[in-house]
Amino acid sequence: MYETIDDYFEGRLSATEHEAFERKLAQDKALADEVAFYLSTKAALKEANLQKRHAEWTRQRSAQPLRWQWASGIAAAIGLLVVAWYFMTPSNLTLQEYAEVYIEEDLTRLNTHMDTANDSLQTGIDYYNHQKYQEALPIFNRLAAGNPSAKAYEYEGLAQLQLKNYDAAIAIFEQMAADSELLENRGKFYAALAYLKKGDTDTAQRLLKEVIAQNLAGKAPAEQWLNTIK
Amino acid sequence: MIIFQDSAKRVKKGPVNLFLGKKYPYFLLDFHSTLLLVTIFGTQPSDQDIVAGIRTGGSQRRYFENKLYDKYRYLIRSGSRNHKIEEEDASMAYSDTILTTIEHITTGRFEGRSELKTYIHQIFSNKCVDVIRKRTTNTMQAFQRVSLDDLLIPVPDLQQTALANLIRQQDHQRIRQLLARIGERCQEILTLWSEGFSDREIALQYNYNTDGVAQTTRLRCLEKLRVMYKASQ
Repeated sequence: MYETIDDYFEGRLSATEHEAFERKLAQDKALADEVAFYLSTKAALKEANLQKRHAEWTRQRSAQPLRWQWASGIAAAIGLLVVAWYFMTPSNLTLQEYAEVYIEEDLTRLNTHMDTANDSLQTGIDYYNHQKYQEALPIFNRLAAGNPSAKAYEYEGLAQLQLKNYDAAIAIFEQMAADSELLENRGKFYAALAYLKKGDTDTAQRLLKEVIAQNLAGKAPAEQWLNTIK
Repeated sequence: MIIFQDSAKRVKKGPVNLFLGKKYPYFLLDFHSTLLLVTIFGTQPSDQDIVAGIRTGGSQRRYFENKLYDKYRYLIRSGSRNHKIEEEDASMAYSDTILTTIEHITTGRFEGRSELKTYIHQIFSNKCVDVIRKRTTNTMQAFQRVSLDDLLIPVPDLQQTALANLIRQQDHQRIRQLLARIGERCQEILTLWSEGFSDREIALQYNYNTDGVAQTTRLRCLEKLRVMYKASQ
């Protein structure tokens, strides 16, 4: 009996056999029970496999010592010298892809400020989170009034970034980066994203390296991205 | 209806392999080149290399599966935040996403029409929503994280609900216990099947003469399990 069930689920029955099987399945309780057992077994195996592979993947990654990252970095550098010609094809696409995904995944939703007494900021955030950047922009602009320390200033830069006004976004992020009063300064990292979107990979790479060296916000993704493109 | 395609049929003849100096199919060129580059430089293989590596099967399949897991692991954090779920749940949903994607690659359900990255994003997002749904409907214990919908795809819509109910009536705990007692070979073969390995690949791995022998062996294991299950009720 399992042969026909298996052939059905593996797509090996002819059109006529397929149709006949489905007709029988609708009427024959015994067949339906066997199909249910067949699929339950598969589900149980899949679940066990998921648990096993998940444990392997997460254990391997958490147990990976840091020195391996350094070792792979050194190996990459040596390898680069040996057959540098092979890498003449630009690898910055990967870096730009990372930036695109980061913007899509991490920057399309701003955290709502429950404790804020500033209704306008919340309105701007709501617009932003609904991808209405054009409406959000003047609100952030008015609230920030050019003050790099204001949260609205960061949001103004992000709205410019989403609107693809990269030069305007860069100007804001660079001012943020130069502001020493910001506790968690994302200016340099965001500026790197904007440069990547603009197509200026060299400047973006330089900024990402500075983010890592100066231990600024965005260090973790910057390290991941730069390691990937090495 | 799932259409199972033979990946070997899609292999095209490629240019001269730089490292082997011979004309090789694309997937071999990709594999050798990629493996060398990844080993020396620690770079990430491209999505195309990963898909080809998984489809090629054999010993390199696991290698490329792990590379696929690593490549989009950054999604876990954003998934946790965007869907407001625990990072541990997002991490499990991500592992599930990777296994689902691998199965879709091997069975031909992923045809390469969309980018692999987009495909993974979409599945992961659905899995995160599933976590929330299962939490609220309290169905987590019965089926953990494996999607019944995926398993029931070939079945006509009208019969899916009835079958899903029948599946829910099975003693899943008992099936799991019996699978642990069914014998090592049966366990391995059935696990490979559940991962989307074809009978051809199973036959190669266990030196069976034909795909048919692999299928018969696999189905005998299933029948043995069924007998044990009925006897235990």
